[in-house]
Amino acid sequence: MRAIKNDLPIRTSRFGELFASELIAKFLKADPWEIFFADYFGEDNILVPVPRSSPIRKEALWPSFRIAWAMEQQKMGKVKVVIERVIPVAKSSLAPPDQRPTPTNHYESMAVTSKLNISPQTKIILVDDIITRGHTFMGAAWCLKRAFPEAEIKAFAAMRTVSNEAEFKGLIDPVRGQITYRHEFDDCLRRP
Amino acid sequence: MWSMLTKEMMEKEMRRVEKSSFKNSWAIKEMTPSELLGRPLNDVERKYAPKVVYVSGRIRIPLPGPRVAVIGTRNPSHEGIYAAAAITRKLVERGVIVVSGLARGIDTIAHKTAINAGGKTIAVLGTPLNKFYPAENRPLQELIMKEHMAISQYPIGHKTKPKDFVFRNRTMALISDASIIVEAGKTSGVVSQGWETLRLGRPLFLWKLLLNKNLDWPEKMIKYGAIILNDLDELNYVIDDLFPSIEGVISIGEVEAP
Repeated sequence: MRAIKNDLPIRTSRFGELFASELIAKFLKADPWEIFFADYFGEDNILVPVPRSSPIRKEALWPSFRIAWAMEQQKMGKVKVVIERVIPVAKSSLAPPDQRPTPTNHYESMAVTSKLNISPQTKIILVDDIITRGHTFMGAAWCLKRAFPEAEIKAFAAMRTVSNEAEFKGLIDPVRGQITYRHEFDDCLRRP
Repeated sequence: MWSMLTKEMMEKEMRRVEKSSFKNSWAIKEMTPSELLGRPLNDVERKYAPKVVYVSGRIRIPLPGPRVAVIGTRNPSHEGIYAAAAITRKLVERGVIVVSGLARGIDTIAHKTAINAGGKTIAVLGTPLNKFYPAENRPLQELIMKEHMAISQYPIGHKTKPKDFVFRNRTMALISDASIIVEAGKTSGVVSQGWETLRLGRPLFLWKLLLNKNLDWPEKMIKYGAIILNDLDELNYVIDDLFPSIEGVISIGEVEAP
């Protein structure tokens, strides 16, 4: 996880040593995962990196941007920085469960800072390094939906947390699924 | 750090440093930061990384981890001293290598506590390895160079300038997986390390003492992602989160540890 968060090199038998962001993009374009995601990524898609939990200074390391950038190099879309964090929120991994930011907190702490030319065919893919319940994605998706109501919005995270040990099948285990917002709790359910 | 000294005081101190003799028997190795860390640096890391570093000590290379910098003011309060020692002991207890800058005050406490607690420590110097600054830390530096590790980006013979300590702070941020600022003033040298830690995307922790000092930089750093540490339990939690054991994962997947 730290390798992804800091974009450190990872050595694999298949690709040799690559920075984490490059490795993720290469994996997605290699067999069998390219077929698995064939209808998900495409050169015409817009890849929107999800902001970190705090505003970042120029030149600072931004893992989701680096992953999106590496995906662009693999022709999986074009990177556009569209959303920025304007107010810091607690880091989910370090906050107690009852103080983790909700989708609403994320939505209210982000701002859409760029315009996009959207056609009805445009797909926007939010890109993040790690997903837990999907609160950040949900808040970011709301921001995009408000600014670009006609766009189709999806999300991609390089790594997901697995709370049930029995469900852990290995480090490389891509899945597709859904994040559902629960209005009554202001939280999300991620499946799988 | 340097802004607190008058020019005259600084020159006097540096003359004292110049006079110090150096045992030539130290085995000093020259290497790139990439060799020191055992991996290529990404472009964000390369920006302020020195071309080479000079290293003396027993800790193996590439450096084992995790490594956390414990840094702060040269003039700590009673609470600052107590906190620096307690934080360091907790890190050692959890198997973390304690990194600091061998300055007076918090840095010295961090190194000494790590050694006394049976842990490992790395000193990142703003002077060449054959200089001792402050001079009173010479025995500590010699012990670290012999039993632990001292690192400098400056070759022997380099004439020390105040900005060298700022560059040293960036290097310390580079070799540390995270940094903890225990206590510091308005113009403390650790501020540059704090910003560099954030630029590198590494966790930066501010001990709670920093909030009671009417300083503006901790608030700014919190806005950009620094996290307040309120007690040692939180530190435990943070260590668990930052450095989870990954041995089980490596054997299952095809990815090897970096």
